[in-house]
Amino acid sequence: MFANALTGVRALLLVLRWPVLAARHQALRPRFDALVARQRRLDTIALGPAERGSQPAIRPVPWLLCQAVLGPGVLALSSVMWAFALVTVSTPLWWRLVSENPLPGVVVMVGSTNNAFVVTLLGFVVTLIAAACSHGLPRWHAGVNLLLAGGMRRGRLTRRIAVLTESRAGALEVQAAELRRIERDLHDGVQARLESLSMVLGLLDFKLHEVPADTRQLVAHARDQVGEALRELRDLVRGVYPPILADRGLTGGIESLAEHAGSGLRGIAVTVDVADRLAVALESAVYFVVAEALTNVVKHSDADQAEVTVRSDGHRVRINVMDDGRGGADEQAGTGLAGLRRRVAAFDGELSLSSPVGGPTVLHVEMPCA
Amino acid sequence: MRVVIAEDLLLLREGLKRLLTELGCTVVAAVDNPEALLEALERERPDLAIVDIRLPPTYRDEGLRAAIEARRRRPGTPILILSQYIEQAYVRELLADAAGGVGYLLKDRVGDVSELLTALRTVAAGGTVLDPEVTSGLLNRLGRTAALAGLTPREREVLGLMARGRSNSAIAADLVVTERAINKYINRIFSKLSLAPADSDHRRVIAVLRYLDAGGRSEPS
Repeated sequence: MFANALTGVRALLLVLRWPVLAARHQALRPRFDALVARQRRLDTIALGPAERGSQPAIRPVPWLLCQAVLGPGVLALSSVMWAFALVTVSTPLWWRLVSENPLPGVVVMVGSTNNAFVVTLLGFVVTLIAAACSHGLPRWHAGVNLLLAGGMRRGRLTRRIAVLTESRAGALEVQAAELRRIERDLHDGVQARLESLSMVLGLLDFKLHEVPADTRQLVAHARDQVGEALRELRDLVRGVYPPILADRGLTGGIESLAEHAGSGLRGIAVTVDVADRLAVALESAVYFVVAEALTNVVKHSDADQAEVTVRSDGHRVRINVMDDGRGGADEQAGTGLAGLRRRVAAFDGELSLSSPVGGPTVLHVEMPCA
Repeated sequence: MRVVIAEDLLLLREGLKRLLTELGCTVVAAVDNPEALLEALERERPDLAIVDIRLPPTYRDEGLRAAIEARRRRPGTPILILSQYIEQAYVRELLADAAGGVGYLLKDRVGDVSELLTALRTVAAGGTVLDPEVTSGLLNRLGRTAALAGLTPREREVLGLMARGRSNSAIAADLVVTERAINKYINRIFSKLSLAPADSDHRRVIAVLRYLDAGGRSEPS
């Protein structure tokens, strides 16, 4: 308790000297940290070992003020209690010395020796209370310190979560914008150059009437290569950011997906009911979830028919992909579903898969809109 | 042939201009935005307009919208759309007015000069030209149904070429058979799929595409 009070006094001194030390550019942190460590040791003695794990960071000024009040305060309260107890217990020894008149005792007027002994008995009770204070107050003080750190930690975590949520949304938007920029750069850059090259080669081929056939074959070969490069680029771009998504939103994008996936199936029923355009990042997440789901259907399910539903009520967007294939899809088996789950998790979404052996397989994804 | 070009990228605009000039076309206007295209079409009344789908201001599908607008103002304005992507949605919108004289090709095809020339002539003459990619997806989807309908591989091939807007003589040349043989194939296909015979190449394209689009169910026409 004395040690607590000492910490409190030091804390008060540190607070008072804070501006002076800061002005002299002296290191405040080591002093503060030493004080915190000291107080933690004391709290540990009072409460037993603290929980393991990293100690939360503490804001200096509130902590120091708290110690400055609690340390000496607890000591003062205990001292007053002990003093009171001592005085009360020893009443029979001194009451005559003080005055001839009756003195007010704890509850009894001290006017005779008998009364004084009654007061002494009461004094023992006060002593017990004082002892309880000595034992309990440091523990209470330590408890307050813990709460203080915990409260600060909770506040800090809440702020941290808010910041992280915002920065993640920002990162996702930046990523989506970046992909769109890449798509545009490819369209205006490499793709355009290759097309221009293809035109030149076509013209060359057109003009080479009188050269040997094998020379013309070389030109044709070059043109084929350019065509192949353009095809690969087109597939790449579709996987990065499909232009149809920018043009026609989710409705056009998902219909286009169904058309491209359609070759493996007899029919895909598509329902897209999304009133407004979603955020770019979310929109392409929905697109790629459906793309991956349809790829899985075509590759693994051996289905005839599939059904894709995308609905949004402005708060949540719900995706349902169902097929009449053989079922038994195993999330552990491939990387596709795990990738889907990660993509959905980035938007705080949920994914559930039901695929009993024999089908049907239903994939359901829900993501919040904001 | 008098041609208007609408393409926002200078490199490709100049490339196309040069290529078309070498092929004997006269490029009467080469513009880079949809308003200028509509204005040039009004002013020049060209035999053909070659239009990139992506034009300013948003670089999405302004070219396609301008083409549809031009054909709304003057039905049958011959337009060949060039794009780096084939999307069924665009095909449907482009063919929605049921007037001939439209084409939709991947930009890659421009490298094949004889193919390009055929496309230019077909569209200018009021025919329809669709990229092989438009039909290959639809035909693939039809795979199982086509087998059910009892189409032979050769008949499927002819069906694909019809859907691309090829005329009977062009199909005959492609497959190296006589036009009479092609006529027979076509009659057989139409009866197997229970499609009503179409009076022009363009109507035939629309009928076949609708058939393929519906997943192999012929619609009452």
